[in-house]
Amino acid sequence: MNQATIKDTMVRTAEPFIGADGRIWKRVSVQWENLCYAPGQYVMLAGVKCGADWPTPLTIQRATGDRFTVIIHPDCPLYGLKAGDAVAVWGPNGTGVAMASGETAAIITDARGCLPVRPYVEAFGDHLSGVYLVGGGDASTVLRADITEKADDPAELKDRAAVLNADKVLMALPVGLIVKWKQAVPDDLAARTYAFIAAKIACGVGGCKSCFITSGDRSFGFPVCCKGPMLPLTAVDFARDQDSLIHYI
Amino acid sequence: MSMQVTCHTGGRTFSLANPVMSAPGGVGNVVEFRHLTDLTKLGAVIPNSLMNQDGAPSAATKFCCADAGFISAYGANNISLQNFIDEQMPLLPDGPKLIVDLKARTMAEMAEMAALAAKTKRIDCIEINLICPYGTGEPAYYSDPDKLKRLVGGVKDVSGGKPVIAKAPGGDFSMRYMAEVLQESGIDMFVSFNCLNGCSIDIRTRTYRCGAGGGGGFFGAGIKPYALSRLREAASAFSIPVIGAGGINSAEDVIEYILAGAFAVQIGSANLKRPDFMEKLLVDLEKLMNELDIHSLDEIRGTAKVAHVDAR
Repeated sequence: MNQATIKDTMVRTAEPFIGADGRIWKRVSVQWENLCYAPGQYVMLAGVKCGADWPTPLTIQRATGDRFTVIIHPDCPLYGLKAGDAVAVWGPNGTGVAMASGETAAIITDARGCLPVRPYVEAFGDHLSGVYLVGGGDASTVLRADITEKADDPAELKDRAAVLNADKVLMALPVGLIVKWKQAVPDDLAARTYAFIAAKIACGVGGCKSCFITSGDRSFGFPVCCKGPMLPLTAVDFARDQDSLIHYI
Repeated sequence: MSMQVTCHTGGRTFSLANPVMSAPGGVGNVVEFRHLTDLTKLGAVIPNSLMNQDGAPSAATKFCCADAGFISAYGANNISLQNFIDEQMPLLPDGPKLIVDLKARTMAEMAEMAALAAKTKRIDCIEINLICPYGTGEPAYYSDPDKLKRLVGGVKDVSGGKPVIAKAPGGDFSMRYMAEVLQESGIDMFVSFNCLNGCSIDIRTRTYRCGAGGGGGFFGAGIKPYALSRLREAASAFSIPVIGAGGINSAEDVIEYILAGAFAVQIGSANLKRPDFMEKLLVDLEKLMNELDIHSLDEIRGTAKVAHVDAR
């Protein structure tokens, strides 16, 4: 895992574009030399003296040369960031879902879930067996991938060969739809599913416990900010924790 | 110029390398921050409140941002004191003093934990969190002077001479009453503020944003004027050292608290703004002391005056 560090740095570019939900998202690049990260990891980013100084977790979309890129949704407090703004950043945080050689993966997302799954789409390349979009929206431009199929309910997709035969299924959906998937699919498919767990991450280092979920074999639970945010579906007891899983990164 | 702070309490001299310490609440076991900040530079460290058994963080949303701060409702958000001593304390660097903040469900439990803390060499001070009994639904001990005296007395009896601090409960209380009862009980220091109660509603879903009961503690810069006035009240009501807390976000805030009478300060919410906040705060504090020609924080403690019209 890459060791997190903290930097005072600046926004290099902030470019608006039409997001998968039809709203104006922003692609923001932040100066940071040679950031090493794994797909699925995120940074904590706080504006400095720009009225948004509480940090927000943002999935690292790409890192090249002297900068990394994140995508900011209009509901995010950092949406107002612009080129030249000073920011404090710490990361990379969390763990990504690794793919062994020759493994395949299917991705199931809704429009907003494109933010955390996009780096996986890019990294998995030929190992993707399918990309499925639940609900409305237009995700193909954001994901830079063809959408294999659209569905209203993820459970409709459980019998698709590209899903059934995938070594891993990565999912970024509202918690209610994740639960429906878990209830609808056979145990072996649930065991191969990883879900983006949208807990409220506040410190990003496992200290504050804002994102702790009580599931697992330890009575004290574990921090989504360090062990996730994409977690094995079987590691999460949604009956116990779903009330705390309401925030999207 | 020195940032060291020194006080005399309980018949002993107590010093910190500087007045900055973490507040129990948002910093876990402090060791989580060690890769991102130099903990050796702090005056003292305080992990989240410890109980005699592992806690279980709330299964509700535990945190939401609010105007000029945040609301949190973590529940019992730390491991047990014994597990902290065994697993986490060895990871802490030498240097800063270690204070443990204790919450208990009964007086016996508090005394039992205090005894364990007292015999643990690395622990320098014991802080009684006055939100006790914790999680039982019974009335708080501090509201009954006899119970408060027994709570503190039970800890003092087993403290092995280590300083015992009382941390204010959340919400409002009479500072004069607290000073009378706690000082009669032999407390060594007092932390003047904990939090205000707060809640926030998402008007689109019509649900409370945080907390199993729909609310939690409100922390952050927005509470500083109130918390500073509570520190001022406490510094006047108590004859023992008082530690300030509440909304401290800058070196200027630290100087304000010292001028109002604080021996030292606890930093809580600001640590969630960035994990190296306290380290940067100390750099800023040194610069500010130079700028304001302050040679010693001990010299300026409690020296703020009321400005009169003639003097302006």
